[in-house]
Amino acid sequence: MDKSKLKYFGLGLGYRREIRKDIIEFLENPIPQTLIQWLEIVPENYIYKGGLPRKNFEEILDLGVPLIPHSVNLSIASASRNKKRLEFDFHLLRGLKELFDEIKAPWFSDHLSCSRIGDHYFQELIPVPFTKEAVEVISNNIKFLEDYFQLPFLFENPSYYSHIVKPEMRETTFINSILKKAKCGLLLDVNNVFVNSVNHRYLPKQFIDELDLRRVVQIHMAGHRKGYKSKLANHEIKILDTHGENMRDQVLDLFSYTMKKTRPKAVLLERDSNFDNEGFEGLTDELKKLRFIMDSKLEFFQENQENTDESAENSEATSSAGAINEANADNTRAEGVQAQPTEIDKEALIAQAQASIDNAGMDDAGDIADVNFDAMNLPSSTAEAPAPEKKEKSNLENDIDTLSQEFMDL
Amino acid sequence: MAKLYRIQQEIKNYFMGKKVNPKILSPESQKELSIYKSLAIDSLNSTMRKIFPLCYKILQDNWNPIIQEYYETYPSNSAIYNQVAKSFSIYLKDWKFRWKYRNENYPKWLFELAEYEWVEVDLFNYYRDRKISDDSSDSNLKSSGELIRLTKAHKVYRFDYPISKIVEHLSSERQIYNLTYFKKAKERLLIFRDRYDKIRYFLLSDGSYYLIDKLRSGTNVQDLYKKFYKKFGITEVDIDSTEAKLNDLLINFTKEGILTSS
Ligand SMILES: [Fe+2]
Repeated sequence: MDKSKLKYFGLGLGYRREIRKDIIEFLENPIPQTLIQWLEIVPENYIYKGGLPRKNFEEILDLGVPLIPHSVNLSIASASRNKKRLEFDFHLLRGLKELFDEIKAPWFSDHLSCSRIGDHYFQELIPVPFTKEAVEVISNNIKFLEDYFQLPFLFENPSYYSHIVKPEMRETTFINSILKKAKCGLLLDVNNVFVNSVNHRYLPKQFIDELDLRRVVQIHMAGHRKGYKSKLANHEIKILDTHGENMRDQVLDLFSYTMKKTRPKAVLLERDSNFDNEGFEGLTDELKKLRFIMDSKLEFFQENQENTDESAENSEATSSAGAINEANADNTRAEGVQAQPTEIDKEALIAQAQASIDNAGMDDAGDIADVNFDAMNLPSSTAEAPAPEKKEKSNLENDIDTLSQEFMDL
Repeated sequence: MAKLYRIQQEIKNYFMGKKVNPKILSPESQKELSIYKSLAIDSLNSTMRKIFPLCYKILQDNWNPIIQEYYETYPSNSAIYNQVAKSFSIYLKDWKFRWKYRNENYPKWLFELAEYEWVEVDLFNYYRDRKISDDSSDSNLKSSGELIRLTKAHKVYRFDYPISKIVEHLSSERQIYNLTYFKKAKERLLIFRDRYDKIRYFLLSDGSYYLIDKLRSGTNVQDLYKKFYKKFGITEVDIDSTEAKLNDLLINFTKEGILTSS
């Protein structure tokens, strides 16, 4: 994937049946706007369809707004018994190919997870263990898909609630290793980073720093909600990625932080439910927040990055974060199984985080202060969001606790 | 690749409510996985309620455990989400279900109702036919030597119970009768998506059933009529009146948008 060759799409919204009429009305208005410049669709919902679903889809197609597909069932993390890659479901692939051609998809994407095992689809994004073997399988699967569709592929960092088996490496190392091996792009879901950081107790900005940001082609932004209790076992998680709420200020802060470091080709607001809460106007207010940050960070980005992330293919170690991660990946390979679960390696993690905080000079702490929501006439909840105070140096534990507490206090 | 494969096989066992090898997937991991299974069942639950509102009316108290068991025993083999509901009628028909809920006195037509409700959704999973005949004039039908056939968006069912009446009754806001009220009475239905993308049905008699059967594979009108007269022993005397009836039927089908010509 050569990111520099991909078209810039700007800000977009996830197309959902429930907001079809609002989207059409909004886009048919001839006044130029920069809030919905493209729409993301879940392609599995539109293949092999006739009747009303097809008619509705054609109506969206006729609007002329770019459509970008984001799949849920390619199941790139599934392994097969004997082959080096998954035996894909060709009925699905054929349907998707037809649709991708029809909408002239610039790229396609799916989650870094497994939804199909054997012949069965389980309708859930099941997490994948952070192992060397998984890096291998996933990279092979991605290479096959890119070859089949002849399009660039991006995988999305998912929200996950548990480690099914002991990880052999850190999540960032895992992601970077796949990016390097499969030479594909990253769909960075900033909300997922935040959700995972609370559920798994790590620092979200450090996570962003560790990623190979040169490969970020698309960004997802969304809301989440507190807690979910399993109905099948005595088990609970702190926050759940629902795409049903407004974006939290901490996630906007993280987005703002990320946009300083990379320039994605497309940014998306994901909303899957609760459309009635504040109506479509509520959604456009959410889009305005993203637009504001995108515009203010663009200038910063252009001044500071000198497009180092535009040609990921050709510059292996231009960003320090990227270089660190490649090194991590190499270490993992050399030393074999290098388990780094949060619990066991907490001390090492704390030391590492401490070092990174020291090096960063804490300039990330005041980041949200330069996002002036007051100027945008947004709902009071956002406008009144206090800018985090400058903090004294703290260790990782304190930082995570504060973060979790801030979230729980919301 | 074997290790990841083996782990995923155990995850599959866990999701399907089967025995799991604790050496590969520890009880702790299974507990962690329960979040995913629980979330998947939650979303299946709301999808199934939308697809089977009438079955839901009947199963209400046991709906949640039934959905969980359905999720475990009939995982979807299609990437298209609503296909997950495809096997619900098979699940309801299975002896294991009937045995488990034998004291509930669920009506014997429950699985047929599920079949009907599923078809209402499934008919949207068929591509629109390229050319739907819309000239419903009598002369046009007979004069053209073109092959006519039914559009793909249809299903023909033979039910043991009067499903059309049951659907009508359960869909009304009225109090539900004693569910055993509906007695066995065979019913053949042509369920189809009309030209306005509404799901409709025709009750089929022996004659119209025969006609539909021929129209499924495609035929021209002259041949169709000839075969019909032969099959039902229509004599010279009755030909005119029969032809008028057949014409009416085909005109009706054309109006509904379920005939296509090629
Ligand atoms: Fe996402």
